[in-house]
Amino acid sequence: MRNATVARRDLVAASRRPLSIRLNGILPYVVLTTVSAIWLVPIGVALITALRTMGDIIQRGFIALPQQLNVANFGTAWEQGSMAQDLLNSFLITIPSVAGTVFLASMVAFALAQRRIPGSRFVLIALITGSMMPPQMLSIPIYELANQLQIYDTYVPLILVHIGFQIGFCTFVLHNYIRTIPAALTDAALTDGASTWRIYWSVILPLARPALAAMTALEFTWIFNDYFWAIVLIRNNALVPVTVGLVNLQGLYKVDWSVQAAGAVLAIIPTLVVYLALQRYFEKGLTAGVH
Amino acid sequence: MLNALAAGRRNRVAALSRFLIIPIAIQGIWIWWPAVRSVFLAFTSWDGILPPRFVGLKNFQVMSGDPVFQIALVNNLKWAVGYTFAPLVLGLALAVLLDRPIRGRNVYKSAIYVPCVLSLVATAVIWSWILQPEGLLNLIIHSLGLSQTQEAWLADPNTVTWAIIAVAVWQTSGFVMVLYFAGLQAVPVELEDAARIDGATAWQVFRKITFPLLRPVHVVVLTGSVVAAVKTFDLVWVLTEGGPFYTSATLASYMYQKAFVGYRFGYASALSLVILVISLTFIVIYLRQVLAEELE
Repeated sequence: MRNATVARRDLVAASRRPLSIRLNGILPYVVLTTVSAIWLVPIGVALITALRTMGDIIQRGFIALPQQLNVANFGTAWEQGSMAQDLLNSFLITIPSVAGTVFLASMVAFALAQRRIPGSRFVLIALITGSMMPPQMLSIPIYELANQLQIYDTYVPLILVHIGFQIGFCTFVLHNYIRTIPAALTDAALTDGASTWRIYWSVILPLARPALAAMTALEFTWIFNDYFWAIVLIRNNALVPVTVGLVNLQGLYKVDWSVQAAGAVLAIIPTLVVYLALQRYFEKGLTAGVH
Repeated sequence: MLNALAAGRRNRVAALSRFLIIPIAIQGIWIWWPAVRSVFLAFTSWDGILPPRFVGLKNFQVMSGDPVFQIALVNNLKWAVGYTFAPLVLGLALAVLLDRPIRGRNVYKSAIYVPCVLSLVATAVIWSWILQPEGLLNLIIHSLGLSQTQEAWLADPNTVTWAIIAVAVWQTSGFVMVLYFAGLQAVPVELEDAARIDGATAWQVFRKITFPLLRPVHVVVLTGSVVAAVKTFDLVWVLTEGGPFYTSATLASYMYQKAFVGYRFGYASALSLVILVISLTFIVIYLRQVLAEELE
């Protein structure tokens, strides 16, 4: 749908471009290429630094290509820097959080989209308002609650807080999507005697797959990248996610930028892969709230 | 017959309501209860060991004389300005360029969006070497012949906050660009065309037609960025921990320090209440825009 609109705008634009615009037709490319290049420099620098030794950096300065590819930094970060364990921890936190968020949000979105429950609108607005609360404001009572329930330093409160925070946005997007599914489909299933659960599971969920994919991709990057809740709720260094692990690595290898760089590269790979693989879903999810 | 129908409808509502129990319980326990509790704690003195002691407005009196609080407040204002307007201008300009028939549009879009998928921690670590006195930024400045000083961007109280904001702008501009790009697709080509036929210049078309029609995106970007700026934490904490001498502290970094380093939970709760109060107006405007359809 959006692609069709873009193509239409392109077509119309091409057919009516006035002379002045055609003359500076090169200018947009210059600007876009420059900005893109500048935007990629920091990531490129990280990659190159990770492949050099610190001695080489001191000797030949910050800007230089590695004379020989040195992958030892990755090994150091992976093992001594415990990035392997930290990455695993990140997945152990992120996967249940994302699954829980998307699953529960889809249930709420389905129930509210039927427009039968009194106060549906209020529930939706309350859920979204909850996700707008400043995390700092909730951090002390949540820390307190986790301690009282004796689940501090476990993933339980971390996962539940992530779900509580993300469910509002997720429900909102899924609700907008599910509402566009024709009521005739659910009505038909109802007359066939299908239960509410069955309609949700066998009719709505399969149809909502694109929106579920978009939310899964977005929520994965957001939850995987969390730092604040991890430092509030996890103290044991063996349990920390990779964001905290990277900060620890930076402290451990203060003067060795190349190990830090290797750690940073390792830490960004999972979200980069998810983004590159599910790119088209990203944009749909991100812009769902605006239109 | 009618009774059976009504009963069926009631059953249906009951069945649907069951879908809401777990999600509402999770948000209630882990978001709403802590929010209420936090407001209470803001009026107490609490070290986390003995029970909280009610002290009335004392935390806010202390705050009004606390120089670090004032620094943090000014820094959050700098954030609200820099983090809002720089990505807005940049994101809008890039989106307008990308809205033309551009070859390789998705490559440009991805390149500029990519920082948004990095964690703020990784972003901070990567930029920390770039901003070192002997780092990449100074090397570039020297090689362009602009200056020969070894500016320590993150250690100089005059530059530190703006340096961190610049990193945040790098991180977020792609997101704003994507929002504006989507917004531009909703602007009817016919309107812009009609204006052009009437002899309007490209700038006039943008100024009088495109820009006003993007109003929903402006509102979301402006309010969303201010809300994010007021609670900004990760970059500040990882890059400087609010230093040197609190000069880059924000309300959120100072609050975290008071709470989880200094164990002054009452005062920290009062600080976090300030974060909420400042963001509240913007949260309301943001939600009213995003939920426009629901609120009708």
